[in-house]
Amino acid sequence: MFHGYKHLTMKKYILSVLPLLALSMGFVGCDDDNAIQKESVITADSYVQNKFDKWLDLHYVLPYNIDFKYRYEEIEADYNYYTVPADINNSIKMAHLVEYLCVETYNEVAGVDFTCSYFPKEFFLIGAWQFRNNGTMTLGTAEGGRKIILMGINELTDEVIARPDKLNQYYIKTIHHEFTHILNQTRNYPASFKLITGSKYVTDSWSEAPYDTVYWKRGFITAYAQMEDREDFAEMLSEYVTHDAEWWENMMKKAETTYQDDPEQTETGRALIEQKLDIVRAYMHDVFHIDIDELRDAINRRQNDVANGLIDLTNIDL
Amino acid sequence: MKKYNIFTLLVMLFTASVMTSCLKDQEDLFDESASKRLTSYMNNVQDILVGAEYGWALDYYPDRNQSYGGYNYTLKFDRENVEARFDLSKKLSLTEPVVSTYKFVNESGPCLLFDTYNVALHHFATPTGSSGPGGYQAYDGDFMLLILGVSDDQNTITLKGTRSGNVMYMHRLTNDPAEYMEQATAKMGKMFFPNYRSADSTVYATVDEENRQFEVTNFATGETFESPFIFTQNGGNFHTPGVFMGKEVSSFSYNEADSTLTVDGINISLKVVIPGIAEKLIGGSMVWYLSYDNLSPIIQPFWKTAATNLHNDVGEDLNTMAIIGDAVYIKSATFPMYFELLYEVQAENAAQDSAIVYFNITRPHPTLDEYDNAPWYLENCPNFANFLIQFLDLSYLVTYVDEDQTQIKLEYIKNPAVSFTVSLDAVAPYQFSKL
Repeated sequence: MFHGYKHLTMKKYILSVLPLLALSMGFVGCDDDNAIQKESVITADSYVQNKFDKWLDLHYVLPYNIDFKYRYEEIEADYNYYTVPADINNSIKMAHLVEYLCVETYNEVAGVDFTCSYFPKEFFLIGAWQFRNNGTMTLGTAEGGRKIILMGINELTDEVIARPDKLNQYYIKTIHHEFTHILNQTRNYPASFKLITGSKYVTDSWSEAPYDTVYWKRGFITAYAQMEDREDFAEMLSEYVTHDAEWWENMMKKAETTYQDDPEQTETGRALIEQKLDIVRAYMHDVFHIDIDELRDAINRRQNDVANGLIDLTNIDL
Repeated sequence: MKKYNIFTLLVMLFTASVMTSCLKDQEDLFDESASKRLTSYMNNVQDILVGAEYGWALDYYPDRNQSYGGYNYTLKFDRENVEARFDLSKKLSLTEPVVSTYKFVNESGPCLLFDTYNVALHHFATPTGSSGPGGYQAYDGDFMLLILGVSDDQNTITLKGTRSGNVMYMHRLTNDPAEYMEQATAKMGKMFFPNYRSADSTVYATVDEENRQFEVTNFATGETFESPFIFTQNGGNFHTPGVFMGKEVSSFSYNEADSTLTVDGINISLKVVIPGIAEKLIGGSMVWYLSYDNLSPIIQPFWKTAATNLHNDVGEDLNTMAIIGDAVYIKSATFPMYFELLYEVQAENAAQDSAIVYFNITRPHPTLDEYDNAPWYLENCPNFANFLIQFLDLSYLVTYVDEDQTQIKLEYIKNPAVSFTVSLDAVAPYQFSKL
């Protein structure tokens, strides 16, 4: 066991120590100041945590490791746009809404582990919409599979909160839409999805006539879904789960026709949408073990709770 | 570890001795690392900000060309929040003080960042969907300010807007911020007319109170001086001081009792030039409001039809309608629109309190109605044009209704039964439920 040490005579010991001594002298020659410092060399944003910050630690950071950023950071915003920070009171409401309508929904339907694994780890709130010089505006963006930027927070009025369709249109559906992209980035959906309306995608023309009005007939759930298959998938899922069954059926009835300017369309818009929905349903079930009808029911129930004023959106007691 | 030969030992010894020499000779310029110094600097500035008993006055200039002039803010800091007061608060109906958070950040230098929304502080930075001032580029206002330095007596802090590049100053207040703001706004809204003239008519000054721009010209020499300004207790301070008539000038004073203006340092009194009725009505600087109650009975049914249409088909009611210069300005709850008002002053009496003015509207305003709101309403609300009926190809006799000259009556010269009165008081065009 200690076989090797027995052979170390005094002479050999000195010879082997010498280089070590020389080396250590070399290191002793360095200034102590050049040793690695304990303090960080990165200057963190400097502010005192207020009550809301502490509430966020308790509701987002500790349970899910989600950074819910409501304080403006230049590096998070797009310098090409003029925008303003989010109002703190609206941010508190949005934090409650995201918790109740998104985080807890996924906990309920798919389990906490799902939420912890897949739900975006970072939210960044911006006060104004991103306005472009052509009069259009951005509602929100998702980045890198982990961050969602929500805009227009300062327009989150009580009127909007009381109407699920408005709340979805401007904020919550955006989250479900962007989350779908994130799930797709983790596991892509089947290639067969794209083939159903493969020749009908129109990229940037989605917002122009006639595509801005004829999308149901063409087999797309929204105008934006016509952009490309990834957006189509995200729109399919987010529109399905944020509306109730009655809305869906009414919409489908309107889609029970073909688009007259496309002579090659043999199936109705309804048929095409339903085929795509089947793939979405199977994907969510097989990959993430989520029943999208269950998800839809949970979202609708929770949306109604919010619209009916049953959820306290302002309390930040710890 | 077994086979050390002399050669290896020598190489190691050599390397070890060489390794030390480079490091030993370098001296640190500072005791601490850059980021540590920055953090201490920002902490120090925060201590100074929070330590001011009454807080600070910020002379704020939005826009890289200072096209809107300067604005007074007071800022009272504690460790978490800032309380702001603003010289436009009365105009914007803000409840003061407006409170929000702030922090210090390192963005190529120590910056003070107002990081949650404050309707006063972020006023000039808030964008909307239109183009032009206050549109998608807002008013080019800053809310992240680079700290350039603190004076030795710690009473002045120099800042620089990170978007506009404007250098701005913060002064330690020596009295209560609400009191300071009262003083600073003493002359706001008191300069009713823009033009001022010396007794011998050689020196003219123009004050654009809305955009806080000052200009003075000596017509005897052709010399001119102009600068954006910020309101002060006595009048205003120029953003860019200069030289005029041989004197260094940095401010002006205004006496509202006799409506006289002087450029400080130059002993020439400039008296206000009161415009005649026609110029007052359509000269551009004043806003004259229209309302249903001030229309004669013949015109009222047209408005009623238009308002009903707007309410039922588009789901909107108007909340503003006014004449501003060469435009009729109409605003529903969400969308402003402008129609071009063509006019001709056909006659004016010597006293300039009565005139004949011809009006016509042929189209939406070509430059003010940038987002085609006006055409949209004309297209989607069939009777919308009925709001404009009183401006279509008619000549009116215009006279003052009151001594204060805050209301002007317009009577169609061919039929006095067709008339309406406009007023400087902001009134809503109508209450839909009462039509």
